Amino acid sequence: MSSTPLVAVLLAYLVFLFLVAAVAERFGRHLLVPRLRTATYVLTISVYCTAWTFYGSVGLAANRGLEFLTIYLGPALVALMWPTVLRKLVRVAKEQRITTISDFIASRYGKSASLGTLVAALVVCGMIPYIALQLKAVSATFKMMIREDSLLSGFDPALLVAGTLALFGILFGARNLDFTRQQTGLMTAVAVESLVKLIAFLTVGAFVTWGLYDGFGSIFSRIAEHPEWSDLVSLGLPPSASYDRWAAMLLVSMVAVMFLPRQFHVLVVQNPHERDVHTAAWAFPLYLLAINVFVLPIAFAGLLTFSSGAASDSFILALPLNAGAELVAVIVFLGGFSAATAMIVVDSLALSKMISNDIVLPFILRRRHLEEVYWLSLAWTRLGILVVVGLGYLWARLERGQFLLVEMGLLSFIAVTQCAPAVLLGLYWRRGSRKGALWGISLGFALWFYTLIVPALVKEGVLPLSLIEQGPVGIWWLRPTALLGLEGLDPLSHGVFWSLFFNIGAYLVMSLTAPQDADERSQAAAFVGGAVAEPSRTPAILSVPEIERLLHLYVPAKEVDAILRELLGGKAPRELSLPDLLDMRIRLERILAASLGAAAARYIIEDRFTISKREAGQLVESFQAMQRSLRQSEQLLASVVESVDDCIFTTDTEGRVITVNRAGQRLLGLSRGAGPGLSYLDVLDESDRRRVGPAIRRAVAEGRTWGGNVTGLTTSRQRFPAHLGIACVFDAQRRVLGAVGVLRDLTEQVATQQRLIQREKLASLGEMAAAVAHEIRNPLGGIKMATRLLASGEFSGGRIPQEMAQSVVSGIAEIESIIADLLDYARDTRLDSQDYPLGLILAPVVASALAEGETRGVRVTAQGLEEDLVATVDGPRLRQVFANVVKNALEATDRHPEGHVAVRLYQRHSTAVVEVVDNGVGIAPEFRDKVFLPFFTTKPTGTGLGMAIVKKIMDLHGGDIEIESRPGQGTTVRLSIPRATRPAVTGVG
Amino acid sequence: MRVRDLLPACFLVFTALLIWPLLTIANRPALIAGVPALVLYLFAVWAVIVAVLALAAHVGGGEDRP
Repeated sequence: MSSTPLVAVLLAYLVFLFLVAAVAERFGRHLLVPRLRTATYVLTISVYCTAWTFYGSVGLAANRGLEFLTIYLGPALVALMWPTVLRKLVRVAKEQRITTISDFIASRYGKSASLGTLVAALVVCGMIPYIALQLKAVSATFKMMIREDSLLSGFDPALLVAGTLALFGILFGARNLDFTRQQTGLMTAVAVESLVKLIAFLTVGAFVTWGLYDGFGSIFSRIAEHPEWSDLVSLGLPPSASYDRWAAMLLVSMVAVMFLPRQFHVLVVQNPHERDVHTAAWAFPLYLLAINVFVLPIAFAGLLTFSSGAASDSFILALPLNAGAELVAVIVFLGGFSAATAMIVVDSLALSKMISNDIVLPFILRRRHLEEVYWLSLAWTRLGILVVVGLGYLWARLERGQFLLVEMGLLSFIAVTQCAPAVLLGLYWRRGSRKGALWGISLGFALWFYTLIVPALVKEGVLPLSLIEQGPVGIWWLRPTALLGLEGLDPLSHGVFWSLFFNIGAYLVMSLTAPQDADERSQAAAFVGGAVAEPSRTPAILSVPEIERLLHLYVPAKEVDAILRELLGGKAPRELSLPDLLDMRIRLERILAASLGAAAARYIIEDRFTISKREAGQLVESFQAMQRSLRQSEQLLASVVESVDDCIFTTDTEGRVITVNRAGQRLLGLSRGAGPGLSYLDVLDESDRRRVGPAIRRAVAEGRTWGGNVTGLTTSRQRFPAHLGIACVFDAQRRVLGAVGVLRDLTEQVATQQRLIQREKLASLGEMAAAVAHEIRNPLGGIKMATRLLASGEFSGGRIPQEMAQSVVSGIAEIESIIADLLDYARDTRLDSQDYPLGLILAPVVASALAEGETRGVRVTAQGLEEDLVATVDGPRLRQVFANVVKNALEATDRHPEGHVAVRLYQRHSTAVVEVVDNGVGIAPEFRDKVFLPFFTTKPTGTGLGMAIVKKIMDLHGGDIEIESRPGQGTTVRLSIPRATRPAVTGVG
Repeated sequence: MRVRDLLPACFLVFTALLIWPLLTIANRPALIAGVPALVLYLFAVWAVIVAVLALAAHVGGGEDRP
């Protein structure tokens, strides 16, 4: 075939890809229905099948039989775990806005920039040969397609392809720094390429199987006739893979399908929806199955046709060319071309992100060129694509070795496998630490290099063969393919075993021995799930203007507003509470992480808080001054509390005592330091606990104060009278934090009060004695005079001595009456109480008052006597009380022209009231308080004991006397007696 | 029990089916319908994996389907 049309086809195909990407980018958002979106997702994952699949699988099958299948069986197996593992990976990555595998590891282990740099550097190194492989495939197949004599025979399309693909990646991949956004154009193009390569492979497969041969059976039966090739369809016998190599390759491809940079990008970062994982889990293995069906027939047909496994990598193209089917050959070429280009584009994109975020950005940030970070990092991402593709091209040009395509691809697979323990264990094991990851990955890569790359370099002739046969400087146990004397494994499984052994071993040992710092703990919690770790540090909070300034620095100007709106979530900046701001900060950090990586985002946010040394010094000073003054006022307060004589204690909201001052400890008899653990109810006497306990609890719950007299109880169970005051303590939000109680010992006060009462009693006794003496002296004076006259004998005979004797007798009678009243008053009176209707007691009193009033010319009225008011009283004594009061009223109205005495019986609450109202002379205010004193009287006759006795009897009944009086207008006396609840007796005894 | 919850167990079973020693059972020089036994076995297991996963995706997680 001449080269010109082929170049035209190739260019046309590239233009077609650009068109697809451009159209999808422009309209994709509207066109992609969910089903189509899921299909695109599945097809982009198939970027796993590269030119290595396309050409290398056939080559490997022709040389080593079924071994190639492991590369696709591994992914099919691991797809069984996708609904659990991949789904969690996708969820965490979306939450944390992870963009690359190195970003994932850096973020998981405390947003560590150094770990990110290490992983990125190693992965980039591991992947460059893989990209070189693709470019090599393109140029090698191009050379096969054109005739040697063609004009363009010297033309190598690899450079053209490399340049075009770099441009493609820059245009459609690195449009924006935020890789977590859907790169619709690029992903659609990749999906289309996946379709193209599948169709191409199926076409050539069908052409070979049924066009050149008579189906599968004929090819397999003909290969069985060749003994040198018949073992290719078995395992465990050379040249086919041993069982350990088979298992190692299965393991490696299980990991590679998820963690190769391009796979992580399409599978995790560009995942449109978590649930699409479930569809991908079956559709992707199906795709792999379909693309592998014809590998063996093509390989065997190649062997049968060219009768040698040499150049078997190109059987797939050589067969149609050999048969003269140029159209099929062109289709195959395009299939291989699309497989290579899709891989190069996605891989270089993912690697450029690693280079920019994890290798270059830490340097930019260290130099603090913060103002230019966005553009620098976008420029570096774009430059990174060029660098990756360029390095790949250089490698392809320089590398002229005899490596089969597969070997190079496999080494890349094993390189990336070194990331798997840190990712997978980090996703499920919280204790996995940064140190563990650092050591595990470093050792893993070191072993990978020593056991796999060194032997490859020996094969290339770069290193001497003696290195493998005798070991470095003859140390036999350091032989790269038989490390520590481990022999019998094939080199590949040997390398996989040792690298993973040291990788996982170091990870586990370091994680178990080295403690995690706060950042690691919080990130581990975020990735693994479960309870959130304690806050890692004083959370940095950004104000809204600061956030806006940051956004302007790190986000294209036209997107700032939209992002800010999203961050604010419909709230005005003023409405934001502190938790809102904290949440905004975290989300801002994630948005920045999507563009710059987790470590850089953390650095930028924290950088807002860096302060100069002088500022720090001032801060520390003012903080110390503040602390000093706080300590002083605290000491002052403490000494006040300690010096007070009252018991002061604080409690929590449950009423448990937290502190007690010294006076309190003394009062309650607590030993020093005891107190905490008590409840405030414990300082009260048992009956008071029941009486006031609920009220105090209610008051504290409602934030009120409570105060009242109580009986205190010491720890030695001594009771004392006290006053308890409880007040709540609040925080700034008026929430009750606890209570402060003041317990004042009233023992002294109560004793003083009782002494005073005693003294008053004595004083009134003296007054009474004086009054009695005074009362008795008057009649005594009369008696004395009369007896003296009688003794003088001057009036013997006649009426006078008789009168004298008469006055002596009446004087004695008066004294007797005074003594009787006094006895009556002073006697220890016992009540003989029964239930009586009060009306019944009052009626005879009123009757005699009516008679008396008639003679004195005073109108007497009664009201309410029929009321059924029953009280437990001593009837005769109470009648005496009523009679006394009514008599006083009658005497007070004696000389009044319209004298009126009204007696009323009525009910007031739980008492019965007897009210006696007169319009007599009234009582002068200065006498009001003395009315009840014995021998106090304003009247010319009477002993003055009447009201004293009334008071005494009423007191004995638990009753009360009220007196209202205005001199000249009258007096109202109210006697109130507690009512009984039982039915009454009917007569007064 | 949901099919999806059984997938990790399936992973172990199918992995066992695809490595030593179970693999030795199918590893014999025989043609079945013109196709070598081991090749047929590997592709059959593969197809079953796809079927199991398709089943899990369609009946295993009712709450997830759009």
